[in-house]
Amino acid sequence: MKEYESNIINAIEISKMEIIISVPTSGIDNVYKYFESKERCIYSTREDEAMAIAAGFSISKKKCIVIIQQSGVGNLLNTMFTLIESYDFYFPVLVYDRGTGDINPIHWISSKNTNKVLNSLYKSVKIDFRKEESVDQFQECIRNNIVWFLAQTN
Amino acid sequence: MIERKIAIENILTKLSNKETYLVSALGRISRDIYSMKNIINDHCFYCLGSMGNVIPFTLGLSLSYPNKKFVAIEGDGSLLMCLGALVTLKRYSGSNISIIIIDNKSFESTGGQSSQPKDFELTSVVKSIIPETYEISTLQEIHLIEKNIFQTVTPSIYIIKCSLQSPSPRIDLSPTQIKNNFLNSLNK
Repeated sequence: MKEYESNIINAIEISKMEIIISVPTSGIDNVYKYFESKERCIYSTREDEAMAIAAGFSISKKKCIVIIQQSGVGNLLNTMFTLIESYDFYFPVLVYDRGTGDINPIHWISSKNTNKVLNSLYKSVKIDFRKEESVDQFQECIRNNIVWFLAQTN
Repeated sequence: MIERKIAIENILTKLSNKETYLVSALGRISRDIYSMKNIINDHCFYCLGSMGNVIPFTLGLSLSYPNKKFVAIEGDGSLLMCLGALVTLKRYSGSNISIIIIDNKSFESTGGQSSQPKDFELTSVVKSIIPETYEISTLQEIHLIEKNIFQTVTPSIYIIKCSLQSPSPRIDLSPTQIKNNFLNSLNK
């Protein structure tokens, strides 16, 4: 397991998230394996679907987190506006940013513009999960009800 | 073909005896249910938007409250927006969730534009994902809901064939009021 994967798992566990809900992103396979083995992982078919499941789950104050790739942010904005924000639900969304240097060039523009879109709408926090202190940084942000996290690992 | 409001009134009456919590789709479905709120009190989370989110939201609720029963009341147009959610439902849901589809083959709230080709078999499509799917075309058949719902270990889906009808009044609650009312009834 890569160190950043281990840090992501620790960050989620320390923050007491009961389940992760995700349209899988590449780069964190061992995170999925970990939560799958504990039957605490739900895969959805779309990012807006993941957000709606998370809203329903979190209404009881149970904690969950949505994990997606940056290329899926565009799919969830309507749900963010008309369900999550309008009805005042809270859960964090961890966006795995493939970055402008990704091996697949299709992610270059997606990465650049997703950062712009998120920053124009919300306060997002970039976390470098290669660093050990990322676990504490994530936990502190959860305490402060930060919704959007941009995970950087490369 | 059943008149939409009559279908909804009958569904609510059948479900009111079963300690069931509802999530309703935007537009006329939510407005109809709200106009009949005396039948279900605050047992309904009314979506005022969020087209296509009713089924996954209800799935999340059912996972969070495994000892309570939930019914998503969705329209055919918004179901078609989220067919993938049925696959997720089949994969992760328990026996405490069921789905009712009000199928009028129209985007009724925006003026009645057609939502399906004439020969489209919505029931066949849904049944290929969730085998416990029943089509209801007459008022007499609505009793199937009362008889079958929550009787299986997997979710069941009821597709009610409805005609177009004038809308009920708009909902005069804010989204956060809707959520808080629903949450209070859940936690009673």
